[in-house]
Amino acid sequence: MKDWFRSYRDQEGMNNVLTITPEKCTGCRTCELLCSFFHEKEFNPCRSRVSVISWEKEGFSVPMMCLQCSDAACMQVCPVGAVKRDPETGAMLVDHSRCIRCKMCTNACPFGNNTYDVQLDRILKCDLCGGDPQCARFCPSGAISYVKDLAASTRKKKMAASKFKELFREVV
Amino acid sequence: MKVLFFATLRKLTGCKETEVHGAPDLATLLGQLGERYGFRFAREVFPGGELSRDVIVMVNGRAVEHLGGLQAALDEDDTVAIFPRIAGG
Amino acid sequence: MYGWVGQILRVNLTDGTINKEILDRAEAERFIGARGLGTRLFMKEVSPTVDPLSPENKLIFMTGPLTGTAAACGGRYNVICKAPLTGTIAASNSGGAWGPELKFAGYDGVIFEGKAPEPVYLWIQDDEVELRSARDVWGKSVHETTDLLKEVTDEDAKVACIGPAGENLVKFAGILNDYNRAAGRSGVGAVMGAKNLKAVVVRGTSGIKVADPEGFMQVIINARNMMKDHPVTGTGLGLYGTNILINILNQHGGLPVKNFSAAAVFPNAEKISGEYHAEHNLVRNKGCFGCSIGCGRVTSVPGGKFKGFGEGPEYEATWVLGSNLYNDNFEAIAKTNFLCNELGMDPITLGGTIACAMELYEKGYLGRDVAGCDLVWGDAELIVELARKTAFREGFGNLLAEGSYVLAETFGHPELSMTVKKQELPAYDPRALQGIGLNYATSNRGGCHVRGYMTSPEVLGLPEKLDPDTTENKAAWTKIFQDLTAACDSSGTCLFTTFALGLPEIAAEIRCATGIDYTDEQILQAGERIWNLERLFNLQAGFTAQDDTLPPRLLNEPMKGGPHQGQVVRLDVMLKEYYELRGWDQDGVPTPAKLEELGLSPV
Repeated sequence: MKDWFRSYRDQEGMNNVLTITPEKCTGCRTCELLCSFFHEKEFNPCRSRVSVISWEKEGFSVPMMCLQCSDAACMQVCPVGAVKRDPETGAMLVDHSRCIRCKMCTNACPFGNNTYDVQLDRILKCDLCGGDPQCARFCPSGAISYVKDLAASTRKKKMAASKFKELFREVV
Repeated sequence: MKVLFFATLRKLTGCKETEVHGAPDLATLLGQLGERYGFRFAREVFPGGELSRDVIVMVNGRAVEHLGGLQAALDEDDTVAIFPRIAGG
Repeated sequence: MYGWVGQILRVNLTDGTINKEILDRAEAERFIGARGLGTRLFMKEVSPTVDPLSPENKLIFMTGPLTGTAAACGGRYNVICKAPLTGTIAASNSGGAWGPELKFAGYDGVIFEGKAPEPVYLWIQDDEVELRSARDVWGKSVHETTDLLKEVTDEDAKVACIGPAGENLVKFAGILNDYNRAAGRSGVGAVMGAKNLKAVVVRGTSGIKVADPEGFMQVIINARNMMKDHPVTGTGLGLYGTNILINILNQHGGLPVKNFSAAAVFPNAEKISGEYHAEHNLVRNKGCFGCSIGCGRVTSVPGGKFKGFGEGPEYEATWVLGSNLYNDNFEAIAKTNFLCNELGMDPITLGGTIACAMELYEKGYLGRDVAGCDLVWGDAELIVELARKTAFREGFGNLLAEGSYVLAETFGHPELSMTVKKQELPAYDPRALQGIGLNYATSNRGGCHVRGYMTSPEVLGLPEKLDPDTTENKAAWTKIFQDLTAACDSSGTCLFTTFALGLPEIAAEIRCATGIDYTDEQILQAGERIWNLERLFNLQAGFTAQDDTLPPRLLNEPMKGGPHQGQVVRLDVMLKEYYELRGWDQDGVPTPAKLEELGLSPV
């Protein structure tokens, strides 16, 4: 797997954040495929750490995955200290050797982004793929991106500003 | 002659069609259009003085590949249609 | 198994038994999957002379080895049966997420046989499979059915179902999955309706493995980059959808107008174009499972007579309900397309049939007394109303529901049916692109553009520009396109990938997924094998070389204007060359040598 796994250092991944732009999402679920393939060597959306929630008739979709909270509820609630932040990538990682599968983290996460896989008897949680999240790498529409946190917020600002511009142009 | 623009090219020209006079062949026409619509248009359609692989140009409905390419002769009453080569279906 | 998941479901609707069978690996290797493998299994079990709407016809849903993987656009499945519209083999192809979900449930395909005594649907939840009563959803639209069945099964389940058109045995009813994706052509939905099968609902939670994970990743990275960098798959289809073709074909002079009776130039093309659609009615674009293109259109008509919301219309629907009916009202086209999705029928055959009716009316062969209305070109409200009447077989709709051939024959003018093997032609007047004419004439399911898309070289210049007015080399190109398309369809990936990808990329995807050491040539040969297999079915069903033809208008009436004025399709010369290249005799029958080469000799 080394060939297609670029380490975070190759692309200066430090301080990057996963950013979601739902209005760009086409609902194709490529992220789910690549996530499950990277982690489990099979194509299986049920084992993906990212889930695309779709309103199919409206044609609207939102990719949902762990946002690596600063004050992470999963870490606070874990009774055995199995959830820790990776100092290099900033990802909240589950130490499976310590995890007792109490599933408190799945309940505590306000977004439902930790899941428990019954067959594997394991918590499934985004680990940022060690610094090169495959969901962002393969997202064809740009709905998921992994960029410097500053770049992410600037982009959102620009998008919001462009809406003002449209309004302003209509008035003028 | 009448020149029609389609799809993404309209964003570069700001219009769907225009009139051009005094272009005896396609190369001259594209040169004039490049001057009129600027660098980005020229780069898209006519990069380095060559017809881009990524556009479809028709003269009166006939693709210029079959009319001599950039040397295709033009008349004042011709219609030239320029598309980005982005279609499928 | 790798790529394939290795199991087939067999459902006998007559007695309600359900069996799981091991996938025949040798056959899967030879016929790949989806269209090819489904046709092979079908032909082993069903007589070619079967009545399509009888219980003896079978209905096979089949995925390919790339369906549900991260291969470029690997979201597709096929529905195979004998077609009620044509009497040929039918293989209708659809995207969405239903096919992948079937594989996640652990099945490559489902074979339905017999006829249920009362309406049922199949609920597949991984290993648990049951037939359930569909009494509560019979009569409901595709959208209502999908909503209701998700409610009573699993909200994440995927639903493939028929609408009222399928229940009413409209000869061109489709099967719709994920609300708006359609196995649209040839009437596969009517076969489902005749079996009293309303829906197949699937929820799967297992995975698909590939033989060579690292190799597969390399291959799909390459393929996906090629898709991204190509102007068609990376830019155009996402921005404008297939409707981008309206202006191009119109400028080319190949956009059929008034049932192909007028010059193929529509003065108001701009008003129904992809550019217009994007500017006025597009909400956003949508992709099928695993798709990097996103050509699907989520479309809104916010108010007025044609208020509605849904997906499409695609280029084909826009043309057939637009210029072909001399209708420039895009909102009416969108509304009719929404109805086709909700009622479950093929807009191409619907529009082609209405066009035929309008021409019969114009020429005085069909009067107001029979039609119950004035069938005048371009009446937008009438078009919407006729769509509804057709799905419910109401009044004149009962005749429209049979397709244009039966309609035109009823009034003594079958030559006005613009069909090949009784299936309506798609959106390219072959007098303006000779090669597509050959493809229409030889397509194994009758009039069809997605069997060998000669528009690509003849109009779009991909992979290279061919002169649309000549017949030179068209037979060779058509054969290659047909064979490659058969392989692509059978792999479970989308035909649109072939704008950017060639045989090497598709073969590599199949090779790494399945672990079978196919050469590129073997994949192309599998396509040829599938093509010949379909041909054998049609020959055994009674078709002959006489049926490899076009409506007489296209052969005898010179184009009335536009860039291709004066042209007719010079089919004879191309067809003769085509038979030779195919290794078929002059009657269009594959020679024993060809069959042996392809491993199709009778045992």
